[in-house]
Amino acid sequence: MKNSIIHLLLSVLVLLFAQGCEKQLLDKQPLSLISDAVVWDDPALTGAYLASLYSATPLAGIFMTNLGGNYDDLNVYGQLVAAGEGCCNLPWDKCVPAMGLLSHTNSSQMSWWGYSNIRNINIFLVNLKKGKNTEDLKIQYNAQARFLRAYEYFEGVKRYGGIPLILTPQSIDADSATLYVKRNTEQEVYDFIGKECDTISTILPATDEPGRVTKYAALALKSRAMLYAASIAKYGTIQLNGLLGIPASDANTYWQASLDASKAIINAGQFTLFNKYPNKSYNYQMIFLEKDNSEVILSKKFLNASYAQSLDDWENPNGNYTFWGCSFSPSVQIVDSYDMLDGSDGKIDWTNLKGYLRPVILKKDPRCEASIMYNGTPWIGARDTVALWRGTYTETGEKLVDEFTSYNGRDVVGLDETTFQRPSTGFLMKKFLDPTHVNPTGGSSYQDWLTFRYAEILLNYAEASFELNGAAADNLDAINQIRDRAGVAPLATLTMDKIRHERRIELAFEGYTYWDLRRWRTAFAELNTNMTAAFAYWHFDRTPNRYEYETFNAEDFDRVFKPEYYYFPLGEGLINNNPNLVENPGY
Amino acid sequence: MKKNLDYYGLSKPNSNWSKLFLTMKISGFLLFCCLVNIYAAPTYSQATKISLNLKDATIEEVLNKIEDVSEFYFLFNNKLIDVTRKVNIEANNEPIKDILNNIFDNDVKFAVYDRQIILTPSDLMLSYLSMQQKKISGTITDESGNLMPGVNILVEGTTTGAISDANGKYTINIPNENAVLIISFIGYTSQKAPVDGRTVIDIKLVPSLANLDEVVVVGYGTQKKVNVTGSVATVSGAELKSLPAKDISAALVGRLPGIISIDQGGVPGQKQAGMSIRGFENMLIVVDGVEYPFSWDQIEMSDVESISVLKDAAGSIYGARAGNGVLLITTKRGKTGEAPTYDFSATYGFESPIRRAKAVDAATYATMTNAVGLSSWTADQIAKFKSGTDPAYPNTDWYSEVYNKSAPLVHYNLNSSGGTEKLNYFYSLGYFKNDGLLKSGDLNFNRFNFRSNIQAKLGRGFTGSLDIAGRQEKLSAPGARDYQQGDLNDVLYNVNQDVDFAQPIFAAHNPDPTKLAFGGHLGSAPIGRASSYWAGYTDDDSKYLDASLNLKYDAPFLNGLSASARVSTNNEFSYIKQFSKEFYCYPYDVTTGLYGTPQLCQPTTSDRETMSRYSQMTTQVQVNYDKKVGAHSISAMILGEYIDNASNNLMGYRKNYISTTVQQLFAGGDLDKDATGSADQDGRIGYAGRVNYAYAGKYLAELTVRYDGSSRYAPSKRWGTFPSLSLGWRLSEEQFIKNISAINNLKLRASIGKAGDDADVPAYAYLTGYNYNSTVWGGGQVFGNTIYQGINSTGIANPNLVWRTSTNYNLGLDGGFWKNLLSFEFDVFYRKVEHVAGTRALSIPSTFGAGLPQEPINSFDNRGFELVLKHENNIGDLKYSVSGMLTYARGKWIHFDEPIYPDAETRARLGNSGQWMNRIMGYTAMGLFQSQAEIDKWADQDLQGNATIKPGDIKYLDYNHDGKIDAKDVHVIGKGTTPDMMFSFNLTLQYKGFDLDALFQGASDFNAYYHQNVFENGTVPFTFMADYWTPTNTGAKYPRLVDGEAENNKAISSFWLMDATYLRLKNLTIGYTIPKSLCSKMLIKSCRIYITGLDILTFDKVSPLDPESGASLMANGVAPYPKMKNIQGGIDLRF
Repeated sequence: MKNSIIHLLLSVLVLLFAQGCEKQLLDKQPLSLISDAVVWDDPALTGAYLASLYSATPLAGIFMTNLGGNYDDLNVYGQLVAAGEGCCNLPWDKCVPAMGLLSHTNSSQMSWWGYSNIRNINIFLVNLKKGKNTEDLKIQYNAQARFLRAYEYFEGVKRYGGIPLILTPQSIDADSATLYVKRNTEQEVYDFIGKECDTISTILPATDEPGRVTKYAALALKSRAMLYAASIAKYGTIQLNGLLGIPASDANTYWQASLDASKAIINAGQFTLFNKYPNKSYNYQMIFLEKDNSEVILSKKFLNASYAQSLDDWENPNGNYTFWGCSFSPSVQIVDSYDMLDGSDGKIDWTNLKGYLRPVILKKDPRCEASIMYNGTPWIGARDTVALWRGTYTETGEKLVDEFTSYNGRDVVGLDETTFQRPSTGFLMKKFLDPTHVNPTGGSSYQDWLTFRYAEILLNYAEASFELNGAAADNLDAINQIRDRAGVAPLATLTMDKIRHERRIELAFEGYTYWDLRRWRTAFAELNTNMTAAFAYWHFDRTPNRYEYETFNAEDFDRVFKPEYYYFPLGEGLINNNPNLVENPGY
Repeated sequence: MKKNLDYYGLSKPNSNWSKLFLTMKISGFLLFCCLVNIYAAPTYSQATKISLNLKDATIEEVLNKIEDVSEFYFLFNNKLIDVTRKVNIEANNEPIKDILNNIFDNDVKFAVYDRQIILTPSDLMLSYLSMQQKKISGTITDESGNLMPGVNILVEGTTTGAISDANGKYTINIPNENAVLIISFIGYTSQKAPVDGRTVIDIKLVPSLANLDEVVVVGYGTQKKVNVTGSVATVSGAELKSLPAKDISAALVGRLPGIISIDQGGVPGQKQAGMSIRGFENMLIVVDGVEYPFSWDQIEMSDVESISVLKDAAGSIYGARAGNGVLLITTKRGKTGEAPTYDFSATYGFESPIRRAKAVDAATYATMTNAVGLSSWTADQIAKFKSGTDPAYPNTDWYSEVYNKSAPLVHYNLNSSGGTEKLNYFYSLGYFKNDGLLKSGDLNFNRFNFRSNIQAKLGRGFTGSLDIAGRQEKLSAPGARDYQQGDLNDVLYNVNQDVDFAQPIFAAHNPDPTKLAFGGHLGSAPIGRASSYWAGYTDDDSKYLDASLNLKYDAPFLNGLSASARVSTNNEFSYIKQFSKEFYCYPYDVTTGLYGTPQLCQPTTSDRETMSRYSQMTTQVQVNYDKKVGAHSISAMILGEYIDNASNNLMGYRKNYISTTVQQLFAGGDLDKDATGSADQDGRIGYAGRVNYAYAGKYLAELTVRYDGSSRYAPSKRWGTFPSLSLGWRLSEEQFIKNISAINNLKLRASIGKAGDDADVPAYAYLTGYNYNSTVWGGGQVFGNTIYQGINSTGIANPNLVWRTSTNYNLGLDGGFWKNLLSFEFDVFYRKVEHVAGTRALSIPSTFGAGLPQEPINSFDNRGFELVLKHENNIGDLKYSVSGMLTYARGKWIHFDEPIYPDAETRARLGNSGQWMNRIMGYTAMGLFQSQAEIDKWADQDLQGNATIKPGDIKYLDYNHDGKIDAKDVHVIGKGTTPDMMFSFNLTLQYKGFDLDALFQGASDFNAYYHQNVFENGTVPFTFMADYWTPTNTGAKYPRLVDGEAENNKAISSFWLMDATYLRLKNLTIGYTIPKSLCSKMLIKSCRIYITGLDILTFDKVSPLDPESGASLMANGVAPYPKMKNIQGGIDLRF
């Protein structure tokens, strides 16, 4: 009897225990989840969502994604290397477009398929409306998010031509006709961007916290996008029933649209070319280092180690004790393309050049000194100048190229030459680098990336104006404003070539050139040329620091730009996934 | 069961209890684990009170009843004692003596020894004793000389018998000189000993080959091995004990059928090797009945009683986590009546690399760099590198500068066990130390562990046990990763990278020892990198504490009914400190005596400290019932289990240290400091039941069902049912086979069972919401001078996601022939895994924009077989066994959701459905191009008209005949890097005091590969790469040398694929047990000394890769920390 009672008690205990436990154990939830319900009623959380949308949008130009020291370097160098602005020194990176290897099965490099962010923006727009935030906040945030979406579509259309326009978040349960979208025409996408920018520019204020989209950022996007559309209409051809190309008859409409947008920015008078320092090359350097200066229309901002990029780590010479360093080398072609101070042709006669390079560079457009690092550039770090000589001629004329050995008390090879990321052209990029940043490491650089700056608007203006009206006082003035600020002699007359040249120099390494050459349809003519290197060697039997230069092919492959590269391949991943998408011709 | 015995010459059993308790106290004190009040208890017979109420029952029934309700058992001869007499008895909590006095009056004498009660007819006793004609005496020992009490000795053809005493001694009276003694004991082979005029006959018992009473641990209980119907493999602690492997997984390889293991690394204390059951994924680990959530590899081997592997439906009782099989580890406990023993074991040994690729010497390096235009050394200079006499031309073997040839391994364990009727215990204390090979001495692993398993009879049918085990592991390595939280392997990768990048043409040391020598490659200073003094350190300090309290109740009112409840907690506390130091190295010019510009080796001094804790609380309630009615025996079990997990971690980081004198967080700068943390939790509930049925020991059936719920899944999906059924037929018990004397065991098994696997399924996928982004990785945005925190959607919710389910089918046949001279186990299995989480590929196009949630849409299956063959025999004093094991398992995708590929060619390249899982895709290599003409007429390999292809490059098959080699030419070129087949051969010998155990283990049906350009990334070539193609060495094994990366040669192709089949002498142990006589002089019970080696011989074709390391070798030209072999000497002492 007693035992039965114990047994009964035990059974009851088990049952009680189980009942209590079940609720407690199985209702556990993850500790890091913010519920959907609160996000749209809370301005801080709604703002946090918007911040994520900004973050996912490739506002940082060549960086694409760029934080914390391990960004996608392929996108960085892809755009500069493919544009023939230089060569990549990272031994594991190959520039697929420059090598002519883009294909249906090899499409990923420089690709951008921003539909994940576009979906998140679309979700934001729908939910923002439903939430309980103030109407004013809703209006402002709505416009900012729509700008980001327009920007995403611009990144897409400039690569692939027409892409599907999706403006509402698709439901996963939607019918296949809705989900399996077809490509819109290239013109439809550009028209969408133009129209969106028009609307947004009437909503957003003229100024906001730096880093946020304003009225003028919207106009700047329109100025750029319409310029692209106009070029494609004028220089491109219509293919795939209009998925690619814009009727030539519409060219002037787009030139005018771009011109109007640029004019609106210029006339507002809110922005001026940065011109703070009398030293012209220093001044040009500081455009990219002085935050929120008078030239900045929109920037991707960085702040401190919690929000940093790795530019200084990747680009500094080794002498500055960077860990990676020397990732990208400007080519001789770009060094040569900077004019002399008086505006004459700046091509250097490398074969007959003896001695230091610095005096020669200082006679060129100051933007060259500001943008290019060469053997003898004064720089921070353990020494006062960059050491980039690749070898030594002995008394007997023998050429020594051995790393880490010395000859006659001096290193045979310059310090910055001695790395497995050897500068392949003899030059490094100086533009954007912070000269006060000693021993940079990954994720320790804070300079902002200028998404839109006033100089581009002047260049857009000049180009559109010239295309519409030919040489005129207004477009000459726009170009000369740029040249004047840069410290190079003004032009007396303007040609299309000169406008394009000025654009390439002023905006060098900022990720414009590749896309410009494509929209002008001049890439085929320009990008089948190999990159050249010019290396310094010092001579034993002359004064110790006398140099000679040797030029040769900088890369071990031949540069290829095929006509079909005016549009990138979508690639088999996207096509296999949606048979309604049509691959671009030639792939 | 009643033991009917003939007896004579029974001697006094051991009842030296007070001494036992004293020693227990001492051992308890020694082991710091005095957990239960130990008291001098009255003996069982005094303490036990019995209640009986029987009317008109035979004495036999009464005795049976007493045996049922108590632990007493009776020894008597039913020819001498009348047990058919009927009695009435009514006892209420009376001691046994009173009850027996009531039954027997004066005609029967009884003697109570502990639980054993011997009945003798009072009148016959003397007369039988006086019948003695001759007295034989002797000592009975086991195979290793231990004294054997309780052994039955019977004179053949008579009822005369005796039982050996606590010292193994017996005396017996024999009727005549021709008598033959039969000596038997459970678990040992019965022996016949003709008297042949002897008066002293000592007997050594040998364990029987097939132990019918062998018990194996199964899910939530134990079963007799003969009754097991599932596929269960077991290895006992005794077998493991003689094999001092570094960790448990190393000990299991080759010894358990169905275990597939790839042991990749030799890093001290490295967490468990890639081990799986039948090639499935993460198996469930259960230690002493409780799911073990931590690294189990470092559980002290000396504490392990047995390890069981549940491969098929046998695992279904573990429900939602058991889909990949279950590994059950059972630790030791004291046995009731076991005299206190102390075991001390010590091993000391050395481990050294099995192999490691060696870098070329300076002269070869100079020649090779000349060949690719990286340098222009003259023949004279190269000769100087070769001779090594000129200090300006060094020839440094960087590997030898950084690594020692061998490193010590030390292991000590002291344990004590014993038991009385009231209480039994097992205490253990262990220490293990495994130093790394680094010359700096800064790589080492230490483990300290203790365990206390105590079980006590609490009275009223209750038994309580408290198990506490703790473990402290400390792993230290030089260097730390500043910018990311690298683990020990990352840190060692850095060391190996510096070693493999450092050029042999640089001297290892500078004249000034405060200036580290430069290795010739940017920032490389191998000696600094391998030293905590220069590079900082990573210390990984983990503490584990497991405690389990179990209360068992044996119901006195219903024989066979018991209930138990258990509360367990498993805790891990880990603390990782990564202190990184900025340091430089200095190029030195021997001719000028000048130091060049210092090179930065590590840019930051920083401290990152991470503390994590994880705890699991398990509660189990279990009820068991066993019943035997005639030939039917039934046992049943029901169980409730509740598991509660929680974890969190905290990380702090600072850099900008102005000095390294104080290496603490607070001493770092305020700029760029960082702190973060995370937390997680989940809970699970399971209810399970099991019924075992056996008829006449012939027909066996087991039915289990488990009902599991998990908080990880949506409320509507979180409960699942996992049934299993297994059947066994012991053919050898059937009359028609029983007559075949050659067959002594034949059992057919079949099982089907369902189980789940939630390890690879995302938790809480049914909830959607937002997570905070880490701003460091770009989650927010800066506006003005403020970082705006970002939030990201966790994606589309999937309320349907749930564990994958696997259905296991297993068919097995066990056999034993010629008294187990030959035995085998054969299992064929098929497993179908469904509801495998995958992302729908076709249903949603990329423009949808959201990563679709994972859905349970994919499926695959596994099939294979296992065969174990064993031959055991004794020839005189030689006892030996030979066994072989073969496991073959393959997996195939049944359905893998993928797009509808436009054509068969694309499907072949990209599709998975219907394909074997273990395969490698790549090009087929056709050898090396020997001439430009050959290149010119071949397909376009670089898509640049072969402009970059030169003689000496790899030639690829144009698989799709389109004239160019591109992604479309990729096809299956071989099996993957997991072996489909594992095999082993084990030989054991025992002769007198000597023992030998040799285990050969191998694997086949898999590949190793590496693909690497010699000078890519600035690596220094390994010696085997020196056989490169040149116009004069056209038969070379490797392609031409290229400065940097030659994409053509680096592509994954059959060129680099190597058949990794291997056979390894995994273990060889030779031991010697010192004779008893010698031991007793030394006041010890037994002593064995041995020498053992692990992985000492390898036969394969992939050198200098290790066949077990497969593709992981030489990523980016860096060879990993080598896999080790070891040789150890050891001693086992028992007091």
